[in-house]
Amino acid sequence: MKILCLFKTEPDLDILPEKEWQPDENLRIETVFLPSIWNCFDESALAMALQLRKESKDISLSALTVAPPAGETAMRTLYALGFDNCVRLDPGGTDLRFSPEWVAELICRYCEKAEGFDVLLLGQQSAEGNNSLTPALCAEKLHVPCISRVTELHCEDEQTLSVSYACNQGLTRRRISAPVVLSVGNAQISCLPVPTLKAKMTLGKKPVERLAYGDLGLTEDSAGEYTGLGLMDLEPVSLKRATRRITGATPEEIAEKLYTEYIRKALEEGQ
Amino acid sequence: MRKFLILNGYGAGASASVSRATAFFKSSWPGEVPERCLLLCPDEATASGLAGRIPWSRVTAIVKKIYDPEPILGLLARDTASDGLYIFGDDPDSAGLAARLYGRCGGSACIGVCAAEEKNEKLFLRKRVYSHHMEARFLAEKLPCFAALAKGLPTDGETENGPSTPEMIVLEDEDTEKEIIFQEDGDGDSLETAKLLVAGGNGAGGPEGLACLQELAACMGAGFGVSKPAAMGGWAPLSSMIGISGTLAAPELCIAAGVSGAAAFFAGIEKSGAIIAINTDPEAPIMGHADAVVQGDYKEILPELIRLIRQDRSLL
Repeated sequence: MKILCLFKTEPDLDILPEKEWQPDENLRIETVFLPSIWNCFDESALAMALQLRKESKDISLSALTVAPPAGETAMRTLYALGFDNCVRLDPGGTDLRFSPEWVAELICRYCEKAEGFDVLLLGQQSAEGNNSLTPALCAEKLHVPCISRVTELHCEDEQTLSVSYACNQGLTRRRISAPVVLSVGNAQISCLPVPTLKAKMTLGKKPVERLAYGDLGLTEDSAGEYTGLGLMDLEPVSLKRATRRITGATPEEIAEKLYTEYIRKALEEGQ
Repeated sequence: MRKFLILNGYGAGASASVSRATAFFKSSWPGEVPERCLLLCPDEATASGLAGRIPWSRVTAIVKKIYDPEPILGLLARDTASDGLYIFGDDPDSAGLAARLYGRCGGSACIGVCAAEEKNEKLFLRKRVYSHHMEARFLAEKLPCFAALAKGLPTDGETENGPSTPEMIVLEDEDTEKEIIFQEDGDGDSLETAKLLVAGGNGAGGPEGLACLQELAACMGAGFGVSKPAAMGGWAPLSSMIGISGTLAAPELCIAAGVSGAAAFFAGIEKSGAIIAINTDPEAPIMGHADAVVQGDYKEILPELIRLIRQDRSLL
């Protein structure tokens, strides 16, 4: 079974101070100096793929990211963890934040170039764009089913997976045959293992396959044709409240203040 | 621009979700009536009950015992209007359906819409981006537009009209559904409606650290939830996760202890009447976003709080 994991690393937005959330004239937020972290849903997807590999040796694992050269650091980790092939598609100067259609087109063109995959495994959304569209768009372009909010995956045989996923009716488990797009949601398996130093020194040095738009028969100029939404404005969300600091000499004193000034009233109203 | 509502009637939260969607439509387009409301339901009784919550008459129910987007997509894609705005509910299945329909029909799509306005025949949609740190305003440059609502929008306060009989389209279960092995209900809905909420996070250091928070919740009759890292770490069930990928709660009082208050989590409690934050880190984001903050170790303060609540028996 050929599995392609799509992933991205993204800036750790939660450490950006509130005053820095000011867009520039191009409606961009300066995040280049922030440390990069795995997108949490993509990390779950990658960890699931490695878990599947443990269950069946007949699985080949590829990983694709659309990212500038810095994205290759993550790929060295993936090689060290056992991925067979890592591909970085250079986005040039394209703004990918709100372009899930373009990203989906790139993914599907790569799939075609690589002569198809049985399973596309990716996280449900990115932090910056929060578009939640890429998995569904890939499925529609490839004319294959899409299962969303996947929480667990197991290999049944060469072409069949057992997939657990959340839906409105509850947690569901079903067997599904490839080809399929699986969009990973809140999964209990959420962290990639840490590769050993030996693996890093050996496997981690495998070359990353590098592609440009031209390799997929596309040009940077055509990116805009794919999107249906135009970004008009970007404003910081204000979460500020009139905060009051509660202090006291002892935990008892603090608890007493919290209880009498806030909690008792709420409990009375809840009676 | 013709407007359609497509609402998901599956799951325990369906009624509230329908109410939020109708409230959104009424506040965005006062006095307008949707071209048609489509209800996706597991059975005819549910369809009839939910249709009674919809204040417009043109309602069609698509009835199918087990939710499966594939045949529903086929049906919807066949009749999509090229000038249509399709508004989907705020549940994740609806978001998935909107995304797939967009992929099939083209146009534009926006998932997590919190506001919409039409100006000079142009459609503008707002949604939270950058992990809920920013709000973006988009112009829908192409139609049809498929917009799925954000979680946590206000409900329609009006009383329901009582059961009504919508036009029904019944889809038969297909063979593929035999592959479904089991289903079980989630229990995250109770957090959504909890009047009191106690929330813990990474500061707990592990499941043991959550014990006194759970005790406080039990003692107050409050809901208990955790941040994403705590849920992902397996310290508490995934159904207790609060935030953009979990439950968006709106309690009258929320006590958040050992939670940094990252924007993705805070989105799950920002509609609280009052927020008390207890954290050892004075620089944690939540310390600027709560009504009352205590810089300290919640493991020292909460046992005292539990003692006080128990002591005041007249309230229990």
